[in-house]
Amino acid sequence: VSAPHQDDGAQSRGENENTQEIDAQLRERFQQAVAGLEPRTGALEHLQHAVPARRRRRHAALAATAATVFVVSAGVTLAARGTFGPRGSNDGGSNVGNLMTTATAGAAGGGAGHGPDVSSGQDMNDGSQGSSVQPPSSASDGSKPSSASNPPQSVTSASVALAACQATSLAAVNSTQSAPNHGVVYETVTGTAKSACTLTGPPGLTVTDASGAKAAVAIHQSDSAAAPLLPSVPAGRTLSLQPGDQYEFEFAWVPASCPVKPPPTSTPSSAQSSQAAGPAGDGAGSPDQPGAGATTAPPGPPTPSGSATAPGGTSATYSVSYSPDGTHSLQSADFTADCGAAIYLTDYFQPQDQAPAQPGARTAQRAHAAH
Amino acid sequence: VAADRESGDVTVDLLTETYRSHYTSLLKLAALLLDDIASCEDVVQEAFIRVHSARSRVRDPDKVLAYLRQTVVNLARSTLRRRLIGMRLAPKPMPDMASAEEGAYERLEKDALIQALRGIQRRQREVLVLRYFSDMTEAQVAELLGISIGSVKAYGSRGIEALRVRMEAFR
Repeated sequence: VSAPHQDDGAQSRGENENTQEIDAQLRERFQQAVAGLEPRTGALEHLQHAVPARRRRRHAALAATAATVFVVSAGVTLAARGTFGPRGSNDGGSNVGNLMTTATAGAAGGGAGHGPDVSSGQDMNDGSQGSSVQPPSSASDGSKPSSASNPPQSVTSASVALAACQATSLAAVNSTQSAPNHGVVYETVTGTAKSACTLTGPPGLTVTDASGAKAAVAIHQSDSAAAPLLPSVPAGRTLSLQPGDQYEFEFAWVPASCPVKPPPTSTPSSAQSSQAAGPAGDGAGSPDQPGAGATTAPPGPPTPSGSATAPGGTSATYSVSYSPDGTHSLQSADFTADCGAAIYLTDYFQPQDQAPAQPGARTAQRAHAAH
Repeated sequence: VAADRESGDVTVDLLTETYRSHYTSLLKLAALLLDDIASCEDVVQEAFIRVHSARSRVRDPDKVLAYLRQTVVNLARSTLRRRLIGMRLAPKPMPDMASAEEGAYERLEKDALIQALRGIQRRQREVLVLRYFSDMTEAQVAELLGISIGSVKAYGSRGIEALRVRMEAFR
């Protein structure tokens, strides 16, 4: 009786061994088949540029979607108000079409004046100076029994008649520069309004090299991966400033890491370029975050304009100047970089908006004034 | 802000770390899954970019490899891959990718196992490659491919048989 069982056991053991042998052979053959494959040169550097770039695109797409949803919902709200609101006594149905046109055509001054003035459309046009997001909130200005759900932002943007800030309407711009943090230098620019006006971001920055020529330094919206110490500021907001009001923005100077070529020059200041990311060739704005092992040696502070170069001998000085209207520069600061750099920039905000959220560590790092 | 800084650093360091640990093996995985070897680097690059640009996916470093494998398999399979071939995701050809890598690709093209793999069903190929190249268990393969363990077994045994027949035909 036991003989067949023994046979079965031996057979299944044999099959098992056979299967294991096939498995082992297959594993070996698969490994052999692809043994020679190696990543192509520059694969990591490409990723180091492409990942933050893709992340920025995702953020931009999300922001655009949010803005679209807001504009559309605002348009629908306005249309409803235009139809059923208390003002509609003498406007009748023409009101609705006009409001919708305003909301969707946005601030581009679109519409080319077709359709002569319908009285109720005027206040909307006044309110839409800055951006297409403005109309709904400015419409609640004045006599409307506005709903309580309006965000606080709409209060600041209710400046119907204010003009955009010019260099002449702003005064006393100060800037402070942080010590380099992982190679990234943060600049905080604070200004005060002389007269009432509105500020809409992004702040106007111009980068010039030592000779005064415009430098090819890409300016990006703030990105927490590339410049993690920048505050989180909502984009696209319009600040309404009264005389004496302060405004602020920040930007980060992110030097690109230099390509490391076969004969490694182990200078102390190149410690941060452990990953050999490519320079700002494609303008992707490499976030020069040091690798895990290179976080202990922050480089020295940026040298002032025209002074000594880095040990590599290629350090260049750049000047970043700020102008609210693209004409007169109100403030400038100097930075250095060996192999190009990128700037990450926040939108305008008012100091009181951000104050509680700022940890002491960040402000402490920005102790000394650049100018 | 401090949290942001941390996550920023972690993301960047994780990219380098993941690259060093897994890029080559994922490249080989793609080479075994794809019909056109030339596009395997594009597929792996795209997988790295997708996984690392989504913060939620890199929050748990232990799962990054699983996400990467999944993305490589999906990209290798999907019609998007065909677009990738045309688009060549890498913006510029990498400068010195000449001799050594091309030689490896050529050798790969001539390999009997690779030739045989291309002749079997896609599912069978995926199961065999994940089981025997990536050393995944049947349960892991089932989860990655979204099929049952029984199906993994069936695809595996049929795949081995099909592979054996084709490899004998090459001799």
